[in-house]
Amino acid sequence: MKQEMEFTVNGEHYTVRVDTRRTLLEVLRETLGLTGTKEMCNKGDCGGCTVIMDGKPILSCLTLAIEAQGKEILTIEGLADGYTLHPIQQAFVESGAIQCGYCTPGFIMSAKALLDRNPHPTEDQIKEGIANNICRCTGYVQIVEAIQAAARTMKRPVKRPMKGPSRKPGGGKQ
Amino acid sequence: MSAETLIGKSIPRIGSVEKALGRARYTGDIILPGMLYGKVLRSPHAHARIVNIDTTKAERIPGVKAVVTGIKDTPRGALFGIIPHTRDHLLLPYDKVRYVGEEVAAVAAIDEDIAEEAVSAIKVEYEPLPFVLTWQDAMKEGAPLVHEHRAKNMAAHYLVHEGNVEEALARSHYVWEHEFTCEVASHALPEPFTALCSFEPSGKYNFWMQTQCPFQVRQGLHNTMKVPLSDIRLHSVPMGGAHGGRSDTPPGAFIAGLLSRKAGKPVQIKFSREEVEDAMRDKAAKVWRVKIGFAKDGAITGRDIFMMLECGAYASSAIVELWVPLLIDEVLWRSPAYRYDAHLVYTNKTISSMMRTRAHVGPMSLDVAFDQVSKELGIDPIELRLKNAVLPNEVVPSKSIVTSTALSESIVMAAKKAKYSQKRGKLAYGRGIGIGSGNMQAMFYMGFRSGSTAFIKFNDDGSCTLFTGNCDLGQGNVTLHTQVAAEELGIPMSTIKVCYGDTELCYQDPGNYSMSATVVSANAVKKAAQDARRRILETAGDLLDVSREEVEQKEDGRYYVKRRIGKGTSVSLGDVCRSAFKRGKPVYGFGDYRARIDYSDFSVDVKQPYNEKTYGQKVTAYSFGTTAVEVKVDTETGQVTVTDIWAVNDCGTVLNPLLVRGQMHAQLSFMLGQGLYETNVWDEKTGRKLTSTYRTYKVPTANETPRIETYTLGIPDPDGPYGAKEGSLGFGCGLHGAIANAIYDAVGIRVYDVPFKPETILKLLKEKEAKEKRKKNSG
Repeated sequence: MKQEMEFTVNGEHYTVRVDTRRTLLEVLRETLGLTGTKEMCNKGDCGGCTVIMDGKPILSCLTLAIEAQGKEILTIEGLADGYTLHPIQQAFVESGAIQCGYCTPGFIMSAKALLDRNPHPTEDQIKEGIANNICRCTGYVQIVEAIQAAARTMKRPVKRPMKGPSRKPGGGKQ
Repeated sequence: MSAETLIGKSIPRIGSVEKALGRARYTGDIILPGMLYGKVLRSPHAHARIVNIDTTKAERIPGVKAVVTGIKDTPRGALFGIIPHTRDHLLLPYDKVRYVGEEVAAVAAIDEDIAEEAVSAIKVEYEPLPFVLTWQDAMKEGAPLVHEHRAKNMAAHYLVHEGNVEEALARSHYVWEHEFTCEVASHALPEPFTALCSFEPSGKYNFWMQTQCPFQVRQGLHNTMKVPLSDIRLHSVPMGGAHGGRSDTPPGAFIAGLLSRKAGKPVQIKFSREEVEDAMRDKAAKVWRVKIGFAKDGAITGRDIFMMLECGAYASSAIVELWVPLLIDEVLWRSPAYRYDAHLVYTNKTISSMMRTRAHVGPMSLDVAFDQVSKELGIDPIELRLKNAVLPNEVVPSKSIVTSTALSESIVMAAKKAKYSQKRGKLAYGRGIGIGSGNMQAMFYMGFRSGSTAFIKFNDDGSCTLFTGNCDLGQGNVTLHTQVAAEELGIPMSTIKVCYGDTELCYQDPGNYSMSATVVSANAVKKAAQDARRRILETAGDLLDVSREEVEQKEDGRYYVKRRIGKGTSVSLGDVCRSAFKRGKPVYGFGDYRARIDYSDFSVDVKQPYNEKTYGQKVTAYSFGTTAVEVKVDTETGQVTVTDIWAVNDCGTVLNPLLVRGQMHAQLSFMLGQGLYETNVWDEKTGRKLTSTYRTYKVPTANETPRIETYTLGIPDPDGPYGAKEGSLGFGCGLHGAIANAIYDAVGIRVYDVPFKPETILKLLKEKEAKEKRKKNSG
């Protein structure tokens, strides 16, 4: 069954007809061509497909696309200002926190959600904030260092304009 | 030449910005016009004869564009195997299935749902056969044969015997022996296997897929598809993890090729997480029995090793698992008499093959032995190690020369940094310290495939493209190779673009098959850059009316006459390149590197690696290193936690500290997972793997990451580019030995089976308690 839905992704408003069985991950990647969000396990075990929905990190492989109706989604493609990297992205590059890079978008989105709600996390809080994300190439030390560096650069959380039913509690999974 | 060297600079990985932006295009992100979606039908049986496959119903489903089966579509006798002895693998079988998850048929359709529906409409008639899941069962009299032509399921045997081991052990002051085991481990790669094939009517197959050795994979496809090498092009794409798991010619690519040819359209096949874990590759389970003889002064007199390896269903590439532990084990510690007797045994399980940590059992056995023998002989464990540590220019049992080693230095440094001697035996109960050393070969013998050829082509503005058949799995090989070329050419890194791993555009390279990216590929790049530089100086000399020996490049990047009064005339690299084009002699550079050592004194027959005398230089360079760890053992739960690691890496000159540090953390994380958490389980009744998800196959997360201090020694290797050698793996291969020793130091129990599971620890603790109780009562 197909259904029409509207949502905002990276500040762009979209109206799409989606199969109600499709996940948000599938619609982001296949319908909108936003392939920066990655599929790793497709069952909520690895955090690779993390995006931010109304300010909260969610697993897009476990979220039906229609659940995003009226919501505001932020993906890895929406972080940078043109080619100017977001401080988290910049810190990941400089800290050597990116090797194969496949898990990177998930980590960066988890880090973004963490720093938005806690701009000065301790090392343990950072580890907890990315505990749902799996990396096999880089290890976690440089990733934690990158998030610490980003927190220092950002000083205060980068707030993106939100609209519509955003900031309502209970909007996301995880 | 620029005064400031690039060697030793922490330059961030090229390509990281694209990855951070979500703009890096992995295989699964590529969509070609008209692309179809492929799905594979897999065997539900661990072992069965294929009686009949009926695809008529599937073919009639609207939207289905091609259906392939082994019987109809696999070229007869098109067996995959990296050497003739192991050509046992039909990538889409027509006779038998040999493990649960093996490919049986496949479908290409206009969308994934239709493809899935069609796959389930294929009817396969099987004649189930009894199966074997362990090497012990596989070798029993009357056990079912996985391959009929291999008696007792023995896939291969490899023996190296130097000196007389029996005699050496008999004459030893003390002989230590034990059995070690390790379980089947998985790569658990982030990016699921994906292959995209676009077949052209001319007969050419274009592949986009994850591979860490494109030329090996092309060879495998050439052998199985029976088409010329030039009709197979592997395009270069970034990939989500490799760790050895992307070295083989995967059935999924072969099937995508068959489907694309049949449908006349591009076909993408993407495996689910379960398909990846069931049907890609694993690391073999091992049993490692070792006898080590010691003289009174602690010197090793001889070592006798017997290894059993579970091959899985095919020996095709698992054969490497048989050789490589030798290349590691024979090197670390000097051993006048040495025997390595290794057996590869078929089982009805996922195929075993390369994995970055395959080397750990050998080093671990020695470190555990040193820990115990030091007590028996009354020699300090560090002294005992230093007495036996291999030294530069020593020749190992199979007759490779150790061109450089700083093993001893790494032991001393790791012990010092960890305060090993002060802490050992003195930490509170439940806490312990241990030390372990490891090493790794860089480049093992692969015939004419052992070498790399690089090429540099200049544009008329002085910028250039470097072509190398090597590829980048994320370690930073592109960065490394650009750095080397820029250093030799004296030009900014930003003016060099790298075309890598494309089998049509690049020359052959071993790929990331045996840690050869630094020693072999970067040496080829260096030589290509030197060759280009010679041509640049030649043309610059012509423009300046002097011979090339009289030309120098100054810090501004321009070329001048060496002996001049005042500023003098100069030409830019762009001037040189343009002039060279005009003369019909464009600037390019060509470089080839392969280790050539005369080992004709030894009877070497590389075509038959099963001869008793399989000697000769197989390895170009060895890396070494030592890790010290502190652990916490929870005596209630048996859980071991590594709290601290001090890692010292003997990787020669450090070309890029940022990259080396990254690789060190990567290896420690991988080793930690396999040492403590990762384990695979099969259902004995069905032969089905039960650990095919991240939920069931536990890999470490940020929460399991200890405090880690990394160090490099910077002692150059004579053959490596600028003295560099492998820096990713060797240093960390001793981690399991270090953890095992630390567990003993913490709670007084010895562990020999990897991973060190809580249940094992608890059982051993209980046994120890009972023993102590008995002792007390009897005392």
